Amino acid sequence: MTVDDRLPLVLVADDDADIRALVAFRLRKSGYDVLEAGNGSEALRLAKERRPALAVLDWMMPGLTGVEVVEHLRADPATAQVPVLLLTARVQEADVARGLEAGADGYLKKPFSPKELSERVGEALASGRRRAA
Amino acid sequence: MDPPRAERAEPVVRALRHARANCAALAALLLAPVAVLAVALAGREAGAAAAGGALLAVAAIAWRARRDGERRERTLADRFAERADQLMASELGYRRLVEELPIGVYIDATDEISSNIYTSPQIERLLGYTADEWRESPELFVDILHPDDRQRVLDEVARTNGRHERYRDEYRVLARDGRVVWLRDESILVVDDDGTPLFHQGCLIDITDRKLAEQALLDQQHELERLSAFPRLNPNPVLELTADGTIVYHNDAAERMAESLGRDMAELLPPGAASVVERCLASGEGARLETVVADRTLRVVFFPIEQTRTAHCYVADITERRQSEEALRESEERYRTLVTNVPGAVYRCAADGEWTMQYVSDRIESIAGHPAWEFLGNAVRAFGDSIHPEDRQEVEASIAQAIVDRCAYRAQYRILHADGGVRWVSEQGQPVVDAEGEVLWLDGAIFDVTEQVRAEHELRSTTSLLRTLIENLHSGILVEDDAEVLRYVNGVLCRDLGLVDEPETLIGQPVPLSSPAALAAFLDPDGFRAGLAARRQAGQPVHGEELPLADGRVFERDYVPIRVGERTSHLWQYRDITHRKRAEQELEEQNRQLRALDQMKDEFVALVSHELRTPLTSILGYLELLLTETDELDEQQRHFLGVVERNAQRLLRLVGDLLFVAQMDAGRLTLEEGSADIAGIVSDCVLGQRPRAEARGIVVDVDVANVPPIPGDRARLGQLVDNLLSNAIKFTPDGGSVGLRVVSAGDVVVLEVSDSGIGIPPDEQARLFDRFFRASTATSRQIQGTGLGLTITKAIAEAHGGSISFESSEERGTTFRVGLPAAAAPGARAPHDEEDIAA
Repeated sequence: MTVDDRLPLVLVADDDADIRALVAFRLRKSGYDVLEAGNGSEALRLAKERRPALAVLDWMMPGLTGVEVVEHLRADPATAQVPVLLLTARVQEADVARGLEAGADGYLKKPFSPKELSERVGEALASGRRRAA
Repeated sequence: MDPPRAERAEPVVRALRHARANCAALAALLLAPVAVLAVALAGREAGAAAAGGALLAVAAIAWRARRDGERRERTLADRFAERADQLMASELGYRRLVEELPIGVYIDATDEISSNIYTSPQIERLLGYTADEWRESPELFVDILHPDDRQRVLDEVARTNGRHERYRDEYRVLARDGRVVWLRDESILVVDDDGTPLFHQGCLIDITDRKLAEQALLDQQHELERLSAFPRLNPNPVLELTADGTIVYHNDAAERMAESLGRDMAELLPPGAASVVERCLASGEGARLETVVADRTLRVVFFPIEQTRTAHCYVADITERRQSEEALRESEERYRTLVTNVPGAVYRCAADGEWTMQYVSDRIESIAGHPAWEFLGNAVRAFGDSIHPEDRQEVEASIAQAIVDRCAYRAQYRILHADGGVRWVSEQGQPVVDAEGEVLWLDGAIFDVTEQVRAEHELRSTTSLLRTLIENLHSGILVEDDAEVLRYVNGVLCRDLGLVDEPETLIGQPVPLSSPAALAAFLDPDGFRAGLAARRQAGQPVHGEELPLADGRVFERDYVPIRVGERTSHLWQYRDITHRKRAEQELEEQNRQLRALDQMKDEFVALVSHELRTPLTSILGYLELLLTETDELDEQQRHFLGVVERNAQRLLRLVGDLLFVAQMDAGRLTLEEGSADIAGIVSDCVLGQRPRAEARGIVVDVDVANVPPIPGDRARLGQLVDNLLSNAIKFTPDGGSVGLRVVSAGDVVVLEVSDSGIGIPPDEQARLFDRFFRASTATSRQIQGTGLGLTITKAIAEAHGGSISFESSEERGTTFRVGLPAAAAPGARAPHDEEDIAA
C-alpha cells in the first residue's frame, strides 16, 4: 500500500511544542513527511485519517497517553501494522515493559539525541517494510 | 516303878531344908553330872538309859549316905561331908560337862507335889524358867503343861509317883516365850540299899523337831491315802506299767476307752512304752508322748515310781484339743503372715500417752529406724517420743478423743527417723474395749506415706503456682467438661463478661456463657453459640478467633481440647483485644495514609523527573542540532555551547541520581536482567571519560583480564563503573594517574578503580557511602558533587549480589574494589517485585 515514490509519512505527537518541532525538524531533514499532533486524541485521529508509515508518540500527553494511542491503533486492523516509537521521560523498566506490551515497537528515553531518533525511525520503517512484505 | 513324884521329892526337899549348908546334899547333886556324862558318852537314847543307871547309882550312894547321916545324927553327916570333900576335887569338871549336854536333868522329891530339888541350866535355856523358879514354885510344872496334855501327864505322874516303875512320857509344855516345846520325860525312882525311895531322877529331851517331823509324815500319809483313791475315780485312763511292759494296774476309765476304741488296753500306750518306763526310771523324770489310736490322738504322761519300779501312765484323748490347736496355729500363722506382709507397722499398744507398745510388727523399723523390740514395753524408747514434737499434741488429741468416743481414729503426722530425717506416716486404729466398755488397748496400723505427702506437697505447690499464674493472666480462662459443666473459670473472664458471681460459686454449674444474659454480650449470640458447639465437635485446637461484642469491645478466643483418658474437657481462653484491635486499625489507617503519601511521592518524583527531562530534552536536542546540523558557528560559539551542553548533561545526571535514590528508598530499584560484559562496559566508560582525564594530564591505565560476561543490568553496571571512574578522575590532581583493573577471582569478578587522589580522612571513611555525604577533602577543594554517587554505586553492587570496599590514605589516593558474582546469586535480582510495590 505504501507508494515508494512518495516520502514516508511519519506522525509525531508530543504535547511539548518545542520537542515536537525538534523531532519534526530532524525527521523532515532526514527526508520524511511529518504530521504533527499536540495530544493523544489528535494523534489517533490523524493516524486513522492519514495512515502514517510510522508514529513517534510521546508517552505523557494530556487526554490519551501515547500508550493508549498505541492500544487503539493496534485494536484497529487498519492501523494495527503501523510501527510506533514511544518517547518517554519515564525510565522505569515497568513503564517500558508496559509500552512494549501495548504494542509499541521501540522507545527512546528523553532526553534523546535527534540523530539517534532519526536512525531509529529509519530502522523501524525498514523492519516495518520487511514485516509488511 | 517310881513313887509319885510329890512323894519322891519330899525327902530331898526336907534334907535340903534341914541341912542347906550340908555338903552331903551338894555332893549328891554333884555326882549326878557324872552319870549324865556317862550318858553323853554312851550316846543316844539307849546310852542315856544306861548312863542314867550309872548316874542314879552315884546319886543313890550320896543319898544313902545322907539318910545314914540322919539316922546316925551328925556322925554320918560328918562322914558324908568328908566323903564329899574327897569328891570336890573332880566335881568342877563334871558339873561343867553335865551342864553343857543337850539334855535337861532334874531331881524331884517323892513328896506329894514332887518338889523340885534340882534343874540343870539346859532346862532354863529350853523353857526360859530358872532353877530358882522351879524350886520355889511347885505349881510351875503343872502351869506350863500344854492344856491338851495336862490331865494325861498329871494322871501318869500320879500313877507312877513313888513307884519303882520307870516313868516315860512325851508331852508338850509352853515355854516362857510362848513356844510349844515337845519334851520327852524319863525318870526313875532312886532308892537306898533298903529299898526306901529317895527321889526321882529324870531327864528332859527336846523332841519338838522330831514331833513336827512325825506330824508332817502323818499328814503326808493321810494325803497319800486320800490320793490313792484318785486313779480309780479318775475319768481319764490311768495305767501302771512295769519296765518289762506288763500292765499291773488300770482304772475303769482305761477299760472304757479301750472298749470304745475297739482296741486292747496295751494299745492305749504308745509303742515302746516299756522302754519309756525304763528311761523314766533311770532319769527319775517323767515323759510325755503322743500316739494315734483309731484316729484319736492320745497323750500319755509317764511318772516313774521308784519304789515299785513301775510308771504311772495317764492317758488323755487330746484329738479335739490338737485339732483346735492346729487350727489356732494355722490361724496364727495366717495372721502372722498377714501382719508381716501388711505394708505398714501393725501395733497393739496401751492407751497411755506414750503408746506403750505391747506388740508392733517389724515394719516399724523401716518407718522409724528403730527395731520393733525397742518399742515393746518402752524397752528403749517410747513410741510417742518418735512423733515429731510439732505434731504430737494433735495426734494425742485425736486419739484421746477417739478413746472418749470409743471410735476409730486416723492421723497423719511426722516421725523422727533414726537417720535424723523425717517420715510422714498415716495411722489408723481404734480402741479395743472389754465387756464393761473399758478400753483395753489400741489396735492399729502405721503406714509410711512420705512419698505421697511429698508428691502431694509438690502437686499442691504446682497447683498453687499454676493457679496464681492463671489468675494473673490477662486472659479469661474457662474449662468445661463434655456435659458443659464448668470445671474452672478465672476472675478475669468473670470480670470481662460482667458475671457478678465469684468464680468459685460457678464451678460445678452449667457453663455461664450459655445463659441468655451472657450470650447477649456478644454481637452475634447465635453465631457465638454455634461456634462453641462446632469447636467442641471438631475437637481441634483453634487459635485467635475474633469475637466482636455488643458493646464494641473485641475478644479473641483460643480453644484447646484436653483429653484425659476417655474424657474430654474443653479449655477456652478469651482475651480482650479491643485496645490491640483499635491500635491495629489505627496502624492500618496510618499505613494507608503512608501508602497514599508514598504514591504521591512516587508520582511527584515521576512528575519531577518528567518535567525536568522535558526541558532538558529540548535543550540537549536543540544543542545537538546547533552543533551538528550547522557549519556557521565559530570556535568560541562552539565552546560556549559545549559548556551549556556539559551543564545540561550534569543536570540530567542529577535528575537521574535523584530518581535512582527515590526508587531505592521506595524499594523499587530494578535491574534489567541480562548479560553484562564487564570488559566492554569498562572500555566504553574509559572511552567516554578519557578526554576529560587527558585534558587534566591524568593518565588512565586500564588492565582488563579476559573475564566472561556476568549476569546483570548492563546500564546499571555502566553507571557503577562510570561513577567510580569519574570520581577517581575528579579527586585526582592534575597530572595524576587513575587505574582500572578487572580480574576474575574464582566465582567473583573484581573491579578495582584506583587513583592517586586526595584520599579520604580516616574519621570520615565510615560515612563514605551515606547519602549526600561529602568528604571534607572534597568540599574544601570545592570539588563539585551531590554525595549520591557512592550511595548509588554501592546500591547497584549490592543489587547484583556483590559488595564494595575501599582503602584510602590522605594525599596518596584511594582504591575502590567491587566484587560481583560471576554466576547469578540467589536474591541478586530485583530486591522487590510488583506486589511489594502494590503494597
